[in-house]
Amino acid sequence: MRKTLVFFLAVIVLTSCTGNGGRNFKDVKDLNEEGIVVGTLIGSLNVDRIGKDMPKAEMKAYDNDVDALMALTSGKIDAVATDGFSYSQMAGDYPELTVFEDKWHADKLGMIFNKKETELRTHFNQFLAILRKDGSLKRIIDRWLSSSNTVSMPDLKGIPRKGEPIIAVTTGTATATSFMKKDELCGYDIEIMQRFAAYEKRPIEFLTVNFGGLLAAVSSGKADMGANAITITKERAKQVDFSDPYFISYSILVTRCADVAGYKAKTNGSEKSFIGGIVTSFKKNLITEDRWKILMDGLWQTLLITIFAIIIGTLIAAGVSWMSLCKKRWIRSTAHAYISLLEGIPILVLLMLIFYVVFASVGISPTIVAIVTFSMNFGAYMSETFTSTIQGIDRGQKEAGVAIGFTESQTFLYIILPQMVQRLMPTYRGRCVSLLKDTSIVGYIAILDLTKASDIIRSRTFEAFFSLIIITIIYFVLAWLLSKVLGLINTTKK
Amino acid sequence: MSENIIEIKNLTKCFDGGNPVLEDISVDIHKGDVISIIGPSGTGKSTFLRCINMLEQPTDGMILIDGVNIMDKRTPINKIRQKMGMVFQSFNLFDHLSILENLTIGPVKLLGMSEEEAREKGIQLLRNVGLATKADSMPSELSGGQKQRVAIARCLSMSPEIILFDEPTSALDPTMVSEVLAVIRQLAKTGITMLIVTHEMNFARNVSNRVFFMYGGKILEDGLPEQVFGHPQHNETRTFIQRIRSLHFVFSSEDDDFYAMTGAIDNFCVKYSIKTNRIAKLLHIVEEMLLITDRTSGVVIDIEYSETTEDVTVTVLQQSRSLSILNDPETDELALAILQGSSQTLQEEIIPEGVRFTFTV
Repeated sequence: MRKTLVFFLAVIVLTSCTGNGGRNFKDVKDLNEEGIVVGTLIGSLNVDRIGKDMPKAEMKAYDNDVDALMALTSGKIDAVATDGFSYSQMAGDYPELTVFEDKWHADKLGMIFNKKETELRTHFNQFLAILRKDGSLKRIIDRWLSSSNTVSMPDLKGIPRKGEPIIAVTTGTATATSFMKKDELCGYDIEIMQRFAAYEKRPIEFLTVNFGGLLAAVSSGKADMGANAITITKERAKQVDFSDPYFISYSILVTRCADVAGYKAKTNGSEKSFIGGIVTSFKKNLITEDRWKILMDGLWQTLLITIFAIIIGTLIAAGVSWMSLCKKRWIRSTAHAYISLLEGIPILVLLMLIFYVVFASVGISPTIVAIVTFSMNFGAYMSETFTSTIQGIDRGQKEAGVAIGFTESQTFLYIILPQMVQRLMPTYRGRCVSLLKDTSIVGYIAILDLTKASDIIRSRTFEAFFSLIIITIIYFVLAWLLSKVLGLINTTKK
Repeated sequence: MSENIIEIKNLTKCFDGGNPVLEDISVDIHKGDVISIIGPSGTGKSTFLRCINMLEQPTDGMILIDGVNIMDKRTPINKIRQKMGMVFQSFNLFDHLSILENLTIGPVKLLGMSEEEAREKGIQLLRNVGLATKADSMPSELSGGQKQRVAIARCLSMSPEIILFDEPTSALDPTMVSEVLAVIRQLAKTGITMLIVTHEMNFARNVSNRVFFMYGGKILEDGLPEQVFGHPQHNETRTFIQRIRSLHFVFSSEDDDFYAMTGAIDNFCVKYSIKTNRIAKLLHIVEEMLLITDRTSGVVIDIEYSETTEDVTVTVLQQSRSLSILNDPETDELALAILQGSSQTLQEEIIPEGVRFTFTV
């Protein structure tokens, strides 16, 4: 295990030492050149703008700002297009970066609503008008934008506990607008939505998804409304309805200081020691705002999904394997169809299909959807192993069991099953461990698992690596433990 | 006559609607019978045995064990099987259990015996088959002969009334056959009813009190070993028991290929290691017979060699003739002298089909 860690650190050190400089950018036009790479958020408007303003440059889309900025500092890309105020929150962490164009495009922000929820949208617009009129809208936004780290959520008493809740969707990873603080969502979008819930006298529940999943969640009916500093566009308006705009934000372009024309390198005297750096990172990533609690929540979800998926998946595998050994042809064909269907769909696609399409209009817990999906997938793969193992056990074993006077089911229980377990164990262990690791994609359907927890911490600390290393270690230990536990089953059987 | 423990009536078995493998078998088996079932391959011996404990589902007929019809769907067949052990050609020990556990699993799970009692009995049984030291070994660590002895002990652990042996020594190295047969021989003295499908003729003759000869899905012969082996009632039985190999030729004109026949005889003799001087004599007989017979009216020659007695018999049938050839003055005297000189015995019979000569060489 220690060797693995050393290897990881070595890779990280190597990849973070590849910065270059001296591009001499003067204005936006300088970015429109072959060989220039500009990064931005997946699904954001900047994607189109890069295409339009700098068609010669290459565009790379990232899941969040932190990843894009890390890519920029490490020299993988040459500029990042992002929005002005979220960058203003992070600027302090990136002394080597500078804003190169601060009013590239103006964006009107709006809340999104399911097209069927016209009444809710009308209510919201009325509510917005009130907020604007008495000046509280400006106060709320300014308060969060001035310093999101110190501001906390106001205690809103008007939200009832009972009644039909408003389901609201957001990312929980956007600076100032929607983020996690001490395992609680906050930010001005969150505050506005909560105030709206109080105004509506209805409870409110939040779903967190990736930015790319916001529109899908609202248009499929998984959520009634959503907010995450979403810019109003015609394209998006085809899928969802927008509220009246409540804020104007500017998108900006960021690059490395060294690449801006006329930049002179400064000598930085305050290098931190390596150990000191780790201690600071540790505090920042785990202790501040009780961030370790988010990791614990994530760990719990990961374990929950893995363990239930293994149990249910094993039962499915047994059933499907029984079906594919059945004498009736249509039962066998059903089993084969199930197996080839599930083996042919990527697990992430299957997960999203089940969440956004199959259970679109049902208020089902995403954790249950994840358990169902992973059980089905695990069942399909394991059933083939089960079948071939049963077939691999000599017919004579069953005959001997039956001939001695066992019934068919006793023969299976006492003779066939123990031999199956012995032979299956290595493959089964491997599959279980691989299931554990596969669950890292459940963040796509609004589950706060271990990987998503690290995303959330990263979006708050603007540190790309530390939380990743933490969850790497946790996954590694979990996989090792799981393998050990399953190993016990085999030895106690003999 | 002692009581019948197994009664089989009109037993028929077809696989997947094809030709019957067992055809209308009716037989009674008495308590304490030790029956060897012999016969060529593919005549239904194993299927017959497997029908008795319903490992194969009979197509038709009735099987009564202790008066209970086991083909009745309401009969709890697993209870019947507990009284009826089976020893398989391929041993089929439970691979995941130790030798002793192979012997205790049945009594503990099925007869409700305590673990301790079952272990004690298991050790005793292993001692009886000479394998007490292997109690904690796994099946994969044993030789074939040892595995089969364990399989027999496993049967006995259930205290059965009947044991079915399905070619218990066929999968064994020749060096291990005798250790297994010794155990079965010992068992035959205890009064357990046993049915043994076997290819070991000496064993069948010496150990059993009854022999079934199966042929073409039927029990062709059923009797005491000395009857079946000494005076078989059917040609098929004789051919099988004496392991007779034969050649058959038909001549219908002067132009039939004589050299093809001598070539075939030569190959046949070499294959069964018949000595050179006997081959010469055999060829003389065939040549001279063809000289003194009339091939145009049809001559049939049969040559038989028994691997057990090593006798060579030649039968020549002159068709469409009812008068002796030996006593015919026209017969070549030199040829007759050669025939007499080449054979140990010579016999001429007039039968409805013609004149038949039988020689032993």
